[in-house]
Amino acid sequence: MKNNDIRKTLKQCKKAAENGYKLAKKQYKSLNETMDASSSKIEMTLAHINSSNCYVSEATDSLVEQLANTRELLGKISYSQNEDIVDLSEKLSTFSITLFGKTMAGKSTLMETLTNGDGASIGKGAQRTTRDIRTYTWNNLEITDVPGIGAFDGEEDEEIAFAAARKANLILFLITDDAPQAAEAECLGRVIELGKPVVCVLNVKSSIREGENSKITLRNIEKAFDDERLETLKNQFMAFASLGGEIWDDIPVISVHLKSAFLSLKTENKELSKILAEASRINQLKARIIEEVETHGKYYREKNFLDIVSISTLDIYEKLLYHANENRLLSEIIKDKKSQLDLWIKKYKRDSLNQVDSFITGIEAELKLELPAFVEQHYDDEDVAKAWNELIVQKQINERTKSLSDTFIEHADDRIKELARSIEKEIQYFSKIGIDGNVNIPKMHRIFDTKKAWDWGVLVAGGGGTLISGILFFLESPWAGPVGWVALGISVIGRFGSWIFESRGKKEERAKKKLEENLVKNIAEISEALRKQLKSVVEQVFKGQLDAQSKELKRIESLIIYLADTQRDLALGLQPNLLEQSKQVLEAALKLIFGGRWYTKRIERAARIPGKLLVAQFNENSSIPVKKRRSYGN
Amino acid sequence: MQEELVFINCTDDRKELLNELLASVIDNCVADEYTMRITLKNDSWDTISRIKILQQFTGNYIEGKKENTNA
Repeated sequence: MKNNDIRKTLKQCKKAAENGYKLAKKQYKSLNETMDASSSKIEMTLAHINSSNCYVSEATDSLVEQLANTRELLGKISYSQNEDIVDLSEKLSTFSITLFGKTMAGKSTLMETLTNGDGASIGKGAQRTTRDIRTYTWNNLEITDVPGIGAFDGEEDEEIAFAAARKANLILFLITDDAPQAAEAECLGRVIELGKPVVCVLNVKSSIREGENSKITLRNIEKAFDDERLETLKNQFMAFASLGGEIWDDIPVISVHLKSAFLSLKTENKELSKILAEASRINQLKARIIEEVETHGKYYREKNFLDIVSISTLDIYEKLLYHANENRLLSEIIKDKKSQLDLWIKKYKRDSLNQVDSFITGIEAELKLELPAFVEQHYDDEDVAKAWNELIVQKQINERTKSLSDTFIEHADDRIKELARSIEKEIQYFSKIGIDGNVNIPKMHRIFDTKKAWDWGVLVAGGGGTLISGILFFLESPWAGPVGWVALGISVIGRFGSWIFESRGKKEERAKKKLEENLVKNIAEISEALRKQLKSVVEQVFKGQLDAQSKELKRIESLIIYLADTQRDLALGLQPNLLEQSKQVLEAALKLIFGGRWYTKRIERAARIPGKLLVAQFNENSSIPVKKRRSYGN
Repeated sequence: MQEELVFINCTDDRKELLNELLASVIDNCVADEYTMRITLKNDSWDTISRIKILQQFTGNYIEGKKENTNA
């Protein structure tokens, strides 16, 4: 293509860029209106979460953090979109091509070749040569050389390279004919995800010595261009795509010997220069670049502006839906665990009360078993009350009651801790199995910290301890509770009954019977007191702690659902923007394929995965212009 | 790089969209108001892309899992 032809194409490209700029500004404005509405929704949700009476602060903190991250992300997107649109708008006349590839792939050599440079920027050995962005002009096209990717400690370089790639209209991705590397393929994948059109340049490397016989040089270069070898290399590189489930067969690969292309410009030997240029196949590459600009340039330029807005909109849309789904799954886990807890609480209460009954029945039986011997020994004892109390102390009723209370408390505590662990385990499990491995989504924050969130056993033990103290006091002090009081009654009856009016034998029988009756009554009172105390412990554990935990789980579940709904609402708020953005890219593509605008009214909606797929949904009653699939781009 | 362009002709009903986009690879689909959980015959990039497209059209989160071939 002659220079005046490319100028004409570039003029048309400029018009397309102006249109793209206009559309991108409109989209940006519309998106910001949506984001403003989103901000209000986020603030409302934050207020709702903060005003909740959840006492597990880790749960609410985590939810607030998710929202704060979303708000920050929306802010960043808005800022960077604006910055990128402004940057691009300052270069409306410029068709930008970015050279991308690993360190020493030949980017600088290509640049020097295209611009007929002095070779100063070409690296030697394994050193990095391009740490900054450098821009040159070739054929009225702007060529940008960026830092190489895949270098050791080169994260910063990669960031610079990808930032430049985002603004490029076309990427020349350089690889070499030594072993293809997975890191290079990964970078190409990222470039494709930016929606960028790519021409792959396979830099064939074979050593050329200055002053070498031109025939030998030519033979060496031709040998390096062995079709079978290059095809194998190309296939090896493209095979990396299949690891990610992708197919890159449609990416054009142009093989070129860059070193000889550069040397052809430097040698004063005209014949050698011609041989080197021809052997290098540099002209095929140049022709491919020009062809790319001529055939697709207008589309690339318009799409470049639209992609600035649409790619980041799609990114946040997917993240919001993902988080909404993840939170909804989490809420289901918590709901399920709450149901399990509620069932367990019911069983716990029933079992505990049965245990209390068995325990008291056992105590009663033990004491009643002692009665005949005790009555025989103490029916005429003035210190009968003291002796009875001593017997009760010997039976360690207090210790055994405390031990049973502790069992209730520990059992409930263990159950809650087990529940917390199982919730946490499931949260970690489902966080790992997110299907959308292609989207970089932050890991789910931990909602529950078992130790902090569920460490209420201390409180229960404190409350239980107080109750046990009460039992202790009541059992140990002969005058303070029913045991002491009844024992006093026993003592008084022993001393002042109708003792003096009856025969000794009858009097003894009556005294024994009376004492036994009083002791049985006392055992019943002790049993009742113990029952009351133990039931109180069970109730304390049930109402104060287990039920409170169940209600807390319900509150957390509700908050998570609220957050999930907010995230989904935010995504749905972005959906019309996203579909409209895709529709505009589709219109640009259809202009390229069919020309004219006759199709616009027929398009109902469009959705797009940049660099991969664009789906046009036509009106129900419209006929599809082309039934078969069409590819576009290159 | 080429983006594949696909034309579909159907209403906005998600069942229709699902059939238009993924009929050939769906093994099973369970859906509620918020999500669609799809068991897939393959998880190629084309299928994953179509799932994401469906996600954009429907506003549902689409969870696609490849069917367990060992089962």
